[in-house]
Amino acid sequence: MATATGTARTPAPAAPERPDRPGPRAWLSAVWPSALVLLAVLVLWELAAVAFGVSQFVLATPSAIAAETWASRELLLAAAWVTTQEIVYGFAISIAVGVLLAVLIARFHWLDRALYPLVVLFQVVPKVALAPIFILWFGYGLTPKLLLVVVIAFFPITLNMLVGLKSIDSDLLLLMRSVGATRNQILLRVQVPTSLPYLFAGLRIAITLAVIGAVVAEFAGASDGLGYLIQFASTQLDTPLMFSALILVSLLGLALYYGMSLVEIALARRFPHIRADVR
Amino acid sequence: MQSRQISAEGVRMRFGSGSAAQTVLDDLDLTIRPGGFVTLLGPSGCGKSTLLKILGGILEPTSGRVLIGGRPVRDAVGDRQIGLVPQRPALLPWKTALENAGLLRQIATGARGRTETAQAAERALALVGLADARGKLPHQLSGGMAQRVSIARALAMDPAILLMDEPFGALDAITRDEMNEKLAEIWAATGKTIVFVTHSISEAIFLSDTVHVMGADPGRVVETLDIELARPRTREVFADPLFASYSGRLRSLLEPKAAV
Ligand SMILES: Nc1ncnc2c1ncn2[C@@H]1O[C@H](COP(=O)(O)OP(=O)(O)O)[C@@H](O)[C@H]1O
Ligand SMILES: [Mg+2]
Repeated sequence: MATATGTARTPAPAAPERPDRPGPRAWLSAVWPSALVLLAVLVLWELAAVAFGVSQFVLATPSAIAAETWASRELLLAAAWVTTQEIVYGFAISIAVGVLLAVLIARFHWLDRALYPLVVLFQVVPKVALAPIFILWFGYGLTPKLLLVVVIAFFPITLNMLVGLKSIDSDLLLLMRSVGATRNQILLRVQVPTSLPYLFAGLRIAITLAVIGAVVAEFAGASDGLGYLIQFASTQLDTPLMFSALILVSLLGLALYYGMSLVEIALARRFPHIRADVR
Repeated sequence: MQSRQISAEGVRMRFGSGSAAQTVLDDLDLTIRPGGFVTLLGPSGCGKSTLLKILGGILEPTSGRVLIGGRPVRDAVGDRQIGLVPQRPALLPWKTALENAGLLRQIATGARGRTETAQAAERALALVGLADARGKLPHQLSGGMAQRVSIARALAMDPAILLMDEPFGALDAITRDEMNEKLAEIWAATGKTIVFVTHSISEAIFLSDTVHVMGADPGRVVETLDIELARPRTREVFADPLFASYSGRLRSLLEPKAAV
């Protein structure tokens, strides 16, 4: 080929062009319809509770919940912090376990055959039922919560990542092999980046499961946290506090989900195929 | 240049096993002289892609063998003597056109060859007319451009043999003609052996020294036709009476029923 072209210039690094991002205005216009519906529901709820004279023990009104939330803000924040730690640490461990397992299964055939059926089989275990066992083994502290979060959340990560790792173009795989690429090179340079959109699909499922895992673990035995607070409030017939804790734990889940989307967007600068419209 | 004759001897390819087994290629013999432009022409599904992958040493035949200059094809692959352009571009979506073009050479040469790889990838992109698109990502490229990056990826290894699987199949007719002329130029300038798969009769005639017509079930070479049109060929060749006679001949070979 050298015969066909002239001078060989040293190429400047070729930077990928930046993907466009929606601005705050676009975000607002996307959000306001659902915000309006939510507001309408709250108003109706309030009016109905007053009109039908429903007891605050049964269904607290939004205004009562708001008042309770403000009055118990320190209690709620302390509990939220405990639950946040459980979810975040548990989720982080889930990612590590889930990704590692997927990579190992994709890399080693014997692990695929030995481990993969077991991992799938493990899915028939109703994992929330493990919570009392973990409490029995590890007490009321952080450990059993983390354990339950991981046990519930790792699977969709492993499964999705594995599908992603195996989704590489078969011809490209053959080409890479033909020029002497090692299995590790193919794994790290092609398979892992290829699997990123799949990984994030798994993470989106896993983060909601992680929230469930933490709350259920607190139900089963805890001395703090939002799940614990919900249960405690229920024994006190403090329905507004139950709702306050419930709303807070939901917002927590939402915030974590959103935080993960930010990571995804940041990573999409380097790996644009993470964005669905690029694939 | 050392003799790079490609010879396939008794190549047989079976996919699957038991009752689901399918013989895709059966006892196929083929000789391709070095420096030639050879086309495999055949109906869809007759095993053209499979044969090309076997010739390129990335697929192991069930039986039979492929020799390049008398050595097993694996050796030639190891020496970067073969560049393969698969039917789908198969680019990495997070790498630029330039990085994609250099991908295979980079792996073949390792970290030592980084500078040469970048230069070779740059030249290859220029050769396929994509010098300006070097910083673009695959999703920013049209289908035809992506396919040309895939060609550049093979060219960047500077192989003596270029195997191309319907590289212009997805292009519009005008671009296709341009790319065909471009390819003929590259071939004339570099003296590479090119094995080209297509199901387009006119493309086959325009480009080739030799057309091997393949039949299906199982895939085999049913006829070999030498194209003796003068080179360099331009679009005027389409109006040549010889072109029409080749075209008729090939058409009758591809549609055996119509020929009877
Ligand atoms: N990896 C594979 N596994 C099983 N069957 C295959 C595989 N690759 C190709 N085939 C089959 O071999 C036949 C020929 O395919 P191919 O070589 O792609 O034909 P062509 O390129 O001529 O259209 C088809 O029937 C296809 O289904
Ligand atoms: Mg094909």
